[in-house]
Amino acid sequence: MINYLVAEISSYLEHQDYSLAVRRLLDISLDINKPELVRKAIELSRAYTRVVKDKQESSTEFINAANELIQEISSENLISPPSKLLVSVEQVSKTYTSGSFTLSPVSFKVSSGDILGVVGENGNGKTTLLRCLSGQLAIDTGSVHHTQIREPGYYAIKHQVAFIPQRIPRWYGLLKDNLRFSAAIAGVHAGENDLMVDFMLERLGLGSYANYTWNQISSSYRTRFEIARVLLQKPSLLILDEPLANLDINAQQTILTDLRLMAKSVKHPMGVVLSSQQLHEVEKIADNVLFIKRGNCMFQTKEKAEKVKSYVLELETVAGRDELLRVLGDNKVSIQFNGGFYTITSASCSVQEILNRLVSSDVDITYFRDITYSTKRFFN
Amino acid sequence: MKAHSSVIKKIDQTLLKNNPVTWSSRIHTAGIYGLGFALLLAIISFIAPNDPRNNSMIHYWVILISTVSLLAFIFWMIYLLRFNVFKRFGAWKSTDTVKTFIFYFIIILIIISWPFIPPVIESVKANAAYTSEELTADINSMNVKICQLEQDSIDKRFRRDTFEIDNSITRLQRRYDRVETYTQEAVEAANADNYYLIDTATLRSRLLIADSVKKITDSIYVTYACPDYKFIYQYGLDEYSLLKLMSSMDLYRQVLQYRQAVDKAKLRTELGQLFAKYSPYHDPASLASGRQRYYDYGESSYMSRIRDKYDLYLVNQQIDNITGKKYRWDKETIGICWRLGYYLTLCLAMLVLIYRHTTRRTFFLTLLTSVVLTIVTALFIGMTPYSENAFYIWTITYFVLFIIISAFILNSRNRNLISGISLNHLVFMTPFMPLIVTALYYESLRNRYRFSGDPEQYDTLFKNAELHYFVSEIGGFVLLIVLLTTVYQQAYKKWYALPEQ
Repeated sequence: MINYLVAEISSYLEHQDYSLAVRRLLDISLDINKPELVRKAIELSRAYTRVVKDKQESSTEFINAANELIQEISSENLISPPSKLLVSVEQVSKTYTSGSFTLSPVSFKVSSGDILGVVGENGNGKTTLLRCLSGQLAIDTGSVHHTQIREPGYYAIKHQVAFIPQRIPRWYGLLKDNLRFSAAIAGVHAGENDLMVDFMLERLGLGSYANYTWNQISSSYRTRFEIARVLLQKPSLLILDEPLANLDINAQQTILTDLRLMAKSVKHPMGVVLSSQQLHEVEKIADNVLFIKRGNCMFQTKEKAEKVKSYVLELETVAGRDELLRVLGDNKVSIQFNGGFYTITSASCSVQEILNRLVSSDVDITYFRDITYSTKRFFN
Repeated sequence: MKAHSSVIKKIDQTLLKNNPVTWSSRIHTAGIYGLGFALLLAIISFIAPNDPRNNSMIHYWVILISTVSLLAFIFWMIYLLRFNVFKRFGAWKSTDTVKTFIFYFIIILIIISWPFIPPVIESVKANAAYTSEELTADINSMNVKICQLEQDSIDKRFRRDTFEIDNSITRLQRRYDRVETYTQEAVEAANADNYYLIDTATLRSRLLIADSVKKITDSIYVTYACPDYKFIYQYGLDEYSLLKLMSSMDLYRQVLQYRQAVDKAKLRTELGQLFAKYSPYHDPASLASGRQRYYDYGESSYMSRIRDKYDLYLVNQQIDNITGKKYRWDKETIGICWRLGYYLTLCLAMLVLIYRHTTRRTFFLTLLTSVVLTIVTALFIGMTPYSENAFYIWTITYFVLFIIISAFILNSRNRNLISGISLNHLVFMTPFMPLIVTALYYESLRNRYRFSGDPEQYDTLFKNAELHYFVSEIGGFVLLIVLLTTVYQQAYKKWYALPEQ
């Protein structure tokens, strides 16, 4: 396994994807579980930050250090642990005593290393489901069974299951002190506390903000801080409610990639459940996506992907509906227009074929996406 | 200053990384700065000019420092509660809650102790400036010298009272000391100023305080009371001094019983020096200060005349100032101050603890419930015949009720507001319960034996009451500590972790 990872990181370095290379080196150093390696990775990350700060395109010193670290890592051994079932949700439903909203029975499972995306329109029950899953909200029927928690009771569940709400609670004091406190209450003391806090600061790109306060950092960094804080408590299941809200596209991509990589950690793999409106981004990293509409679970990609009966294409073009129908007319397609783009559905013609036909007919295409297996199909 | 700040920072970081419970209580900063401020206050109180003979201005200091204490408490609270958000679900030990509570208690105690520092330092300074023996010797000396100077003009006639034993006076009358029954004929027969019928027990007490006694018959006694020659006097000084203040009789025997030849000029000089020692505005030559005088013995009395002549009012007042400062901390005052400080600290520490272990909404609803329950209870007690027992029984009933409601937390499937409020009340009431039970016991005894008519049995029953109350106070605190460690921390953890409905 280590050879594959070393090759991956070397490739990043070779193609100047330094940020990703540094993040992977940090992850692998932690997985190897040798403090001196983690320290070196932290130093490398700091060196990279200095390179970026000084606006240098690359630094020989940094690249040499990275290669040295890769060399050290390549001599280590890493064995990926088997995936474990973390939580089993069976027919969970919830009705609020005030208001008329009801979350209809829903079932799913999350294992270590898995990412479950919960998507749906606003006010359709995503947050309710996540809060039930994290033990924040009492359920009416069904069961949420946390299989890896031996000690019964909600205190143990809340200690093991981290929930990051959409609106992150305000904290006071310095960012670094807050991280140290979180690590300390999780039993990470003395030198290990320093090491882990420094690691998280570098891993989530917070190194430059360590001595900043709540008011001095943007919402993107507050989200990163919150992730760093809960990760220091080593949860087995991480639940995030709309973590991508208020983030720019680059920050979204970075957070999602980091979540993916951290969920698959060798040393401490965890399950991740996140809700979001960013369907494509979530679908890209999630192992399973749950689509909720008006409190009902409409679709789970993991279970129903094979049962798809028609192909769906999202298309943006200057051509009109008549022209599209003319080009695709004999393929029994239906075309819907939402004002921005067309949704083309066909039971017999694959997306590839539709695209070929459009290109060969000289139809100008400015954007397209195959949403055959995407929950996007259900948004209308 | 920089080194000091660096040391605190180092302590702060060490605690933060190794002992987050201690760190989050801010004992290291609040404790160090609190004790530092106390030390500074003590130094300022020592340095500040404060003549023990002058009127004490300490109440202004106490008000000022109390305001500073209040501000410091608020500041600490704000700082403390800022780190309240992440503390809930960690690897807490069973002793963490009680440790935190004790830290809160210590910090609040330090803050509350500040207003007591200036009065204590003032007492220390007064004690250092004048010893009790010095004061006693000087008062005796001044009284002797005044008597010597004024021996020819002082009234030397003793007051005479004649007492005739009459044991037909009832016990109840004797108990309330309503025994005097004036009989004009008897007075005239005994040639006395006053004539009283009195029972044997009361006569015994009268004989004890008489300066001289003459037995007329087996049942008639004449007592003689020496006139007051204590021109300068400090009540209670004897308790603290190895020397004894001279009584009027002592002065009479030493100076006035037989006329003495004295060097008046020398006496005046010595007296002037003594007056100047206690009353700096006195002119040793004229022995007067020229201040406005007042009379408390009647303008024409020899006492007023002599006090007026030497302006002894000022001397008495300034000696009074000294003794007031020296002997401020008697057993009773210490008891009151200690209890005031202790209960204020205890209540505030418990409120902080409760706030940090419950939701904000539950905390404020707990306060509201307390107010409502107090009003309801007061109404109920007000509508029934007054009895202290009613208050104690109501309190115990509430306590039992809160135990029952809080017990539902054990089997609850969601976080219930009522059980949270009950748990908060239960915790807050715990240290007071032993005291309430003891008070109920003694109040019941008092009611049972109040009209029994046997004072000895009554006294025996209440012989250890003070000790029992004290043990109850200590026991209440110990009970709170034990329950916080064993039950309350678990209950709070369980309650807070439960999901909301």
